[in-house]
Amino acid sequence: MFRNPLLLIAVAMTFAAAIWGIIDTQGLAKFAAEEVRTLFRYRGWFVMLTVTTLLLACIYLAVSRYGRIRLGKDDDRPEFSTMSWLSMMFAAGMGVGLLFYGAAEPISHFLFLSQELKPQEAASAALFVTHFHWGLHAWAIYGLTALVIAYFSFRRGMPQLISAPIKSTFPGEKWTKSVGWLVDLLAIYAIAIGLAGSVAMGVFQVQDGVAALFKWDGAGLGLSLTIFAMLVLAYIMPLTVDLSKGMALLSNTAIFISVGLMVFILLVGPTYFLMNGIVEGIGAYITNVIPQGFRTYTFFDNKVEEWFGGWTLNYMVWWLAWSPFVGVFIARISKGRTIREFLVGVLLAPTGFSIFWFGIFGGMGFFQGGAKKLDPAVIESNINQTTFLLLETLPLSSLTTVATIIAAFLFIVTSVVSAAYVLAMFSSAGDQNPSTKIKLIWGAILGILGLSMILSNSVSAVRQIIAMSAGPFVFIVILLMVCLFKCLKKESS
Amino acid sequence: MQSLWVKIMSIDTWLNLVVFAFIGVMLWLYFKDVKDDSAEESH
Repeated sequence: MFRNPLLLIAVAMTFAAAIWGIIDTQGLAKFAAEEVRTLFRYRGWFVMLTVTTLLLACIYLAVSRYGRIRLGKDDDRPEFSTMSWLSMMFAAGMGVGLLFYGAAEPISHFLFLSQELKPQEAASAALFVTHFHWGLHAWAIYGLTALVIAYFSFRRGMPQLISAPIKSTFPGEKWTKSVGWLVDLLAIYAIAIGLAGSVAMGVFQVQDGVAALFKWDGAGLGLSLTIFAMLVLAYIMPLTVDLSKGMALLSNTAIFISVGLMVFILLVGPTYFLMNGIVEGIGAYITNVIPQGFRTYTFFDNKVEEWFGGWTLNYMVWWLAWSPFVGVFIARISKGRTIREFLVGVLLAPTGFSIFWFGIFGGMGFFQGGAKKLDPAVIESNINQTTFLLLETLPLSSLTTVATIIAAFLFIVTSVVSAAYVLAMFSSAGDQNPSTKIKLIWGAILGILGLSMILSNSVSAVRQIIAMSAGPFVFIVILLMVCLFKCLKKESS
Repeated sequence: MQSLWVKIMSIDTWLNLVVFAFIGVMLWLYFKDVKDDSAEESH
């Protein structure tokens, strides 16, 4: 470990952030909020331009002659069936966020937008904005990062590191060594903070689920810390032994429970109303998705600017924070696919699923003025209760609440185990079998970072801290795209 | 004159300068000829 400066500095940086968060939680949250406000105000246009460019680049690669190039040798074929490929990819990319925001996000947008719009227009706009956040743009960020890693790893034999495409595209150039090193360091930092944030949000979700189940009012930090301790115990063991098949099983179980929950709500709830909303949502999404990618709300007042920064820009930067981790994961399961089938799968399948998911959970909130009945004051002050408030309006609410708690817990455990592996691989020069010691170090750091974010006891603070850590990735992902296009052009000629 | 100085020294200007310089560097890298290195071609 002491001979590896990248590992040492990465551990020191993330550990320092964690300690800062534990000692002065409010100070870190305030600092992050100010930094992110500056980033979004002055570079919001650049974030939107970047993610839209990534989406357009993905569409171009899928339809152009480059689409025929295989991620691997020309005679390689996919290792996984298309269904399990899509399921694994979706679990890695969205995970606990879906459970957290399924009902909360459309309802929050509705409550904000209904101040300006008629209720029916606000409901449509709320669903569309939610679809936009979880749709093609999010998956273009993941897809392009994964494509770059898969192409350079399987076709050009480079290690699965974020710096590898840069070194491979510009061989022998001195700047690539230092820039590559910095890129790997920033990737490690963004993954660690991004994952720890998701751990904190998952713990908040489970905590509110347990409180709803046992009708505990005011269940606070004590319950959060108990859940957090159980979580740490649950993920430490898989880090010490190779449980890749077991992890796949846990991840599939979480997806199975989530899909079961979605189907249950569709069938038990007002099916015709939800399906109408989904069909309307598909139309609105297809019509507006590209123009929305260029919207910056620059001619609106501060309130709208804050809403746009707090949701849209924050999401885009959040996906960027997760992109190295999810990118490596998607790349690893995509060997043997052509660029076209890879991009069509990565972009369309998860986007389609998200439209159904939010159409059902959000639609339930809009049925017969449901959003207002769910007590806007509670949603605004504690967004993570929304899913459980919604489930309480349906039959078998105890069962569905338990299912949501289990799925959230499983999503967090599988995410932390996978993240600790990717962090260990990145900090061991791309070693596919990093040592248990390094995996445990990252497991511990993710735990301490997660704890510091739990202590902030605020979803908003967690989102700001994640956004702050992922800022540099707006630049890195563009550099990766340049590397990919340059090498594809060279290969084709 | 003073307002121009304030504008030049503002964080807005510097952040956007970084962004514009970055876009320029990316375009330059894309069109730049690179040295051919047989070691990179393991395929």
